[in-house]
Amino acid sequence: MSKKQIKKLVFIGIGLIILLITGIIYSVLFNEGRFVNKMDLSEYIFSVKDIPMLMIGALIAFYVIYLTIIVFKASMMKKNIRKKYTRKVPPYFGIFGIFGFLGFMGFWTYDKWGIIYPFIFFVFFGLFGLFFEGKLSNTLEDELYQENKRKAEVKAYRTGFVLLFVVIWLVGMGMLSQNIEWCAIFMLISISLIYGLVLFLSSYLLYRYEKEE
Amino acid sequence: MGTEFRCNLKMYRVAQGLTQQQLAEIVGVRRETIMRLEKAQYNPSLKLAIDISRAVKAPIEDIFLFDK
Repeated sequence: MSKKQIKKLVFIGIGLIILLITGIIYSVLFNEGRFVNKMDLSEYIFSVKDIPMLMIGALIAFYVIYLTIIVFKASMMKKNIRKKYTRKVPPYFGIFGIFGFLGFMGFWTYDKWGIIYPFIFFVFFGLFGLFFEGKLSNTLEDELYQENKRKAEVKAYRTGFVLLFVVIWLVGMGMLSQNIEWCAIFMLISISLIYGLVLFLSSYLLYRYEKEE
Repeated sequence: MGTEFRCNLKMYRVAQGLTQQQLAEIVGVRRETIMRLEKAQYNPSLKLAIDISRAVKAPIEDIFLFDK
């Protein structure tokens, strides 16, 4: 946050305090101290004389919301500036990708109890990408790295979307239309695998772009 | 768009007696980035181009060339 912005916020804050004090004086003198003295808001009846205090209240509320957003944005920016190196991940974490095979459990659980959610575990195949992320561990994220990262992500997402389109097209064309459950299983498996693939490809392609001489 | 990018960075860097690593540290990038730049495999941002031009004390248009 720039000094100018901080100054502006402080001035607005001071202005609002002055406004609030003026409002309180007005309320005490001309409005029987409404909103200053204790009030039972459940029995509140609107009066034109309340408008100044209501407006001041609304302005203060807007200011607090604005302040919260500004502070949140500033803290996020600080985080981004500080984060100049990639996270430290040992390449052997890629082995967690084998958890993707848990997805095959879905065939068994569906057969036995009609439960299909274990197919989601196919997503874990994406963890194989940690192997490539680990190889780029603690790398300075300069502009070339950022560009390669963007390029890799775009390519991975594009591949994912093409595959997703094919899956939706197959379902839309009436594939498995005889059995709605098969359709659900097919969609769940496909989406899980596609998401896993996108996760993997993002890391793998980034590694390839970074290492190509 | 048929524009060829060439880079004379290596010449100016060597003239200043800087290694790729040293130049990379001065401009806040990795050695790989300098290497790619020297091979004209990467088109730098304006900020990086200016930083490099200041570091090797040469005009941008002499370091980075765009031939039509």
